[in-house]
Amino acid sequence: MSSSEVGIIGYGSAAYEKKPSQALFGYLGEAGRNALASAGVAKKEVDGLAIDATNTPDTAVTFAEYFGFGTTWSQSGSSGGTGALLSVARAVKAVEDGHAKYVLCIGGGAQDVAAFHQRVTRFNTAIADYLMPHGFGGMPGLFAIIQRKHMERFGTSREQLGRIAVDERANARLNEAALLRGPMTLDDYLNAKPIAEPLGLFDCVMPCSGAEAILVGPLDRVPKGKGVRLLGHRERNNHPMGEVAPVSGGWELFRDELFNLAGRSHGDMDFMQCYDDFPIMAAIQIEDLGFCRKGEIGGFLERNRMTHDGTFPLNTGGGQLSCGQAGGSAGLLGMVEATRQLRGEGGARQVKDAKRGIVSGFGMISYGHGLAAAAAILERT
Amino acid sequence: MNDAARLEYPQPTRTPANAPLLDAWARGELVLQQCEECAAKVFFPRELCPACWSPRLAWKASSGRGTVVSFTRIHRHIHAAFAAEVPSLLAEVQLDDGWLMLARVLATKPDAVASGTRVELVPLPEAARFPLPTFRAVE
Repeated sequence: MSSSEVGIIGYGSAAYEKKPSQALFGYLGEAGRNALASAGVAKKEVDGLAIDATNTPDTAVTFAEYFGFGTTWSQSGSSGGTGALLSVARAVKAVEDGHAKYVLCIGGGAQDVAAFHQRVTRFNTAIADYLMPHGFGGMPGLFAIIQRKHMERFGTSREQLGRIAVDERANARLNEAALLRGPMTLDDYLNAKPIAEPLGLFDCVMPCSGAEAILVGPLDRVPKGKGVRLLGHRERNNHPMGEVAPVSGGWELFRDELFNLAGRSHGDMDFMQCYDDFPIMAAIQIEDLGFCRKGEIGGFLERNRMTHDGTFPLNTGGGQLSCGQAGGSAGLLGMVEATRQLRGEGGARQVKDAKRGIVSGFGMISYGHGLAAAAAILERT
Repeated sequence: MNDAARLEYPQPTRTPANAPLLDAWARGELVLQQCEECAAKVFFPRELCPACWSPRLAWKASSGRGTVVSFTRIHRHIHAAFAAEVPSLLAEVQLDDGWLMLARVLATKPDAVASGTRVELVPLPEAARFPLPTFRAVE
C-alpha cells in the first residue's frame, strides 16, 4: 500500500469541562466514538490504538481492555505536547506497513486547575528536585523568563504578543466547544492580573478536562474531500542542549526538510495550528518554522491578523488559550482542528477553501523549557 | 510571619548524584559538577556527563557570584510555602565561573532587579532555610 493512500479519515472531541464530571476513560471514549462516527467506521473495525493521556498508569493496552478493542498495533505516547501529533504520524506508518487497518489515536486528560498544579510539582525529576524547591511558579515562571529574554533581545512587546491571545479569542467566539468565549480586547490582555511577570493571566492556559481523537485508515474509505493526507512530519528533542531559557525550540532545525518532504512552501499553507500553551511559544513556533525570521515576530504579528478570516489564520478554534488545556488532548487539538478545517467543517470559523496547513507540537517541559518540538504538514484529499 | 509559622519549602529528593551539592549548601557553600574528561560544566547534577557520557564528574567550588540573564517576578505560586512571599524572583543566573542555572534570587527591592543585575550567594545563617543554593541581588 503506498503512503498516499493512508491518512486521517475521522476526528472527534469530547466536550471540555473546567472540572471533570467523568473519569479519563469517559473523555477518551467520547472523543473516540465521535471520531468513528465522522468516518463511518464501526468500532469492531478498529485494530490499532494510540493513547496520549496524562495522570494515568494505564497504557494503550490496558485502555484496549477497558474499551474492548483487540489490537494488532498499539502505542502509549509520552512526549507531552508532541506525543499525540507524532502518534498520528506513526499510526499512518503502521497502517502503511500492514500492522493495522484502522488506528484510533486519542489524547485526553481529566483534571482541574488544582489537580494540574499537583501534577506540576512532580512533572519530572528536574522540576521536582531543582525547580520546585525554588518556588518556580509552575510553567508560567519558566515561560516568563523566556519571554523576557525575547523582549529584551529583539524588542518584542506585550502589545505584539497579546495579538495572539486576542485573535485566538475571536476564533473561539465562533467555537461553541471552547471553554473561554468571552470577548477579549488588547487592553483586557495587557491589564490582566500578573501571574509571573511579564506574563499575565491571559498568557496562561487553563488546565481542564477533555479529549481529542483522530482516526487513521485507508483514505478511500471516506469521500474525496473528507480525508487528509499527512505530507510529512519531523520532530526534534532536547534542543538547544545545555541552554536553560532558549528563544528557539528545535523546529528551525527541521523546517526546511519538512517543507521539502511535503513538496510545499510556506505560502501554500492556508493556516497554522500550533501548540499555544503561552503566546510566546506560539510566537517562537511561527519564527522557528520560518514564517518570519528569528526575532521578527513582533512586526509579523502587527502586520497580520490571526483570525480564521485573517492573513495568517492561527489556531482557528481558539487554541488551548481559549479552549483550555485538557492534558494529553492538547497535543491533538491542533491536528483535530486542522482536519475539521480541511474537511470544510469549520462552520462559522471555516478558513475559506482551506486545502492545506501546518500543525506544530511542543512539550515535555523540564529544566527551564520544553524539550520536545514537532510539526506536520497536512493536505486535504 | 516568623520562621516557626512558615510552611516548609518543597525539598529535593536526596540522591547520590546531588548529595555533595546539598551538603555543601548546608555549609553555605556552592559546589558544582565539571567533567574530568571533556571539562563540561554540568547543572543539574547527574551521574554521567551529558556531553561525553564520562562517569568522571568532579565537584568544584564556585564563587557563587554571577549575573541575572533573564528573570520573572512571580505573583502566583503552586506551592503554599511561597504564597506569603510574593512577589518572589526566579532568575536564569550565569555564574562568573561558567555554570548556568535557574535559581531564586532575594532582593529587598524586587522591582529594582533587572537583567544584568549582579548576584551573590545568600550567606548563612539565612541560607539555611533555602533547600537549594539561593542568590541575593548585590544592591
